[in-house]
Amino acid sequence: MPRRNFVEKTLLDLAGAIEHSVYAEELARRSGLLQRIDPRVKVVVLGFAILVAASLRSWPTQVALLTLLVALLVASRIPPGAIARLLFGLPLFTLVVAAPALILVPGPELLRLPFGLSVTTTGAWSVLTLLLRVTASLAAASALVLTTRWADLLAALRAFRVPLVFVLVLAMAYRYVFVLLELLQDLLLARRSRLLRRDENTEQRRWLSSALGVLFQRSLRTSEQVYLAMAARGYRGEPRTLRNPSLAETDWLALSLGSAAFAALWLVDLARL
Amino acid sequence: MNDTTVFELSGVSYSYHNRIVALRDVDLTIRAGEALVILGPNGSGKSTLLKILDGLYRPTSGRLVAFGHDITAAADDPELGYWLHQRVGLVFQEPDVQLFSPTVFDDVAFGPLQLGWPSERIRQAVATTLDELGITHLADRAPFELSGGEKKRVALATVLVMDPEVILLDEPTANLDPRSRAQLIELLTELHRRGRTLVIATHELDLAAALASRIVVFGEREHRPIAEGPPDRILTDQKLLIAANLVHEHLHWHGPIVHSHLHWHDAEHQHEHS
Repeated sequence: MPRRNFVEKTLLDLAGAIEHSVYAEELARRSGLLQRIDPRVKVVVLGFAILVAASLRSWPTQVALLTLLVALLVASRIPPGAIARLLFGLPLFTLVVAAPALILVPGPELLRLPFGLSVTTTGAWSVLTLLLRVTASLAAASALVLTTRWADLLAALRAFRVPLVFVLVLAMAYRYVFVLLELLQDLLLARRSRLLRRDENTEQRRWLSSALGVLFQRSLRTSEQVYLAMAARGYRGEPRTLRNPSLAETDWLALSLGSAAFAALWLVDLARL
Repeated sequence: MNDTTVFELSGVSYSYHNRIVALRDVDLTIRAGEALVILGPNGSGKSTLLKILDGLYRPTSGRLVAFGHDITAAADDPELGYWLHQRVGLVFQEPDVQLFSPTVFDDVAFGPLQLGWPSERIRQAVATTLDELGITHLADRAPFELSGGEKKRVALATVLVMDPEVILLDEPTANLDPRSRAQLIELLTELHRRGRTLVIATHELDLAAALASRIVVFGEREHRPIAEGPPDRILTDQKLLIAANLVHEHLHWHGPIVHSHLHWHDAEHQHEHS
């Protein structure tokens, strides 16, 4: 297997993005707890959870919030591997960024380090708080994104009065990015199949710019054809959508219970201070 | 089929960027209830003709009448175009351009929404159409998750749901596997039997043999009809088919024997050996 150059690596990563999106849609279609709840309710409740995560100050309530969110993910049949990546991936990066605070924040000494440095209790608490906040916010956002299909998320945006043109553009951009990515992949493979030697970086860059030109041309042609296809079905410049159906009783229940649980954590946290 | 004229083209020409000729002085009449196959090689102007019939391109010259109304200017007149699109549906060759919504359901509902149907009627019509085409299970899928055959079916559903009197189809069986192809032909036959007017652009002879009640052959250099008639006459006229670049001499397998001779395939794979 020849070593991949930067162009190929980037494009294969893009292909990975397509696979990931298909996988995310598959997760969102599973019959889990959150998948059964109306996306509008999820946007409100999990949005509120992110606000609460950013406001909590004591670690027991933060741990309780994180536990609750992880329980929701498990009940929504999100695979343990995906949850583990969520809990240890980005938070680990946050830890690297926040690590200097362990030493720089003044306070009582917790651990003595070489070169006259020491980890302070205050510093350790602030890093832990930040880590828990980031992890909980990420868990809430993931609970929304991983259990809601893209189309439903867009419909939920409409329900919150986000302008229809904006939602339409977002939907079509997401739709056609896949068509263009597939084309880009085909271009890459067609080139690779005819490549008999390792190419230089200059050649790669030249090829990439020409591939982008082809892509741009294709996107222009596609946009023209898509407009014709819309016009052929009666489109006259004014987008229309079906109204969202009303919330079911279970959705109201989820809205009440979810909001109440997160609000309770907030109140307990305030009471502890 | 009856004698009511659906489309009447007189001297219709079209050029892209005023340079590349796609259609030249086309005279054509299409009658209600017929399954007209526009047969021609690539570049003969078939797809352009369908877009003109659907009021999406304005002819460079000539006149186009649909359902007794002059619709030559439909491409520049949104109201006229809107009127036409309620009665005529176009299935594009490339289904990806026709499936632009987040889900199959949204795509099929798009046309009825533009026509201002009430929500309940739209939901009902979408459900019925998906059921008729056997794709109810795809309703919540995103278009990028569909196979080529599924995309074609959904593209057809987006048109059928609007219940048009005329359906224009551009290379409907292109890139389909044998099973999807047979299913689509069966479906189109059924639509024709129910009285829909079909106008099908293709270069595939077996599709023409399976569906056409009349064939119009477009020449690749002429960019206009060079012959027309019933399928049994057109499809057996080898001189015409060769001249129109629809059949050609090539290598052919017969078990272990390889030879070349002039032939074309139809559904029964019949040909003379020299």
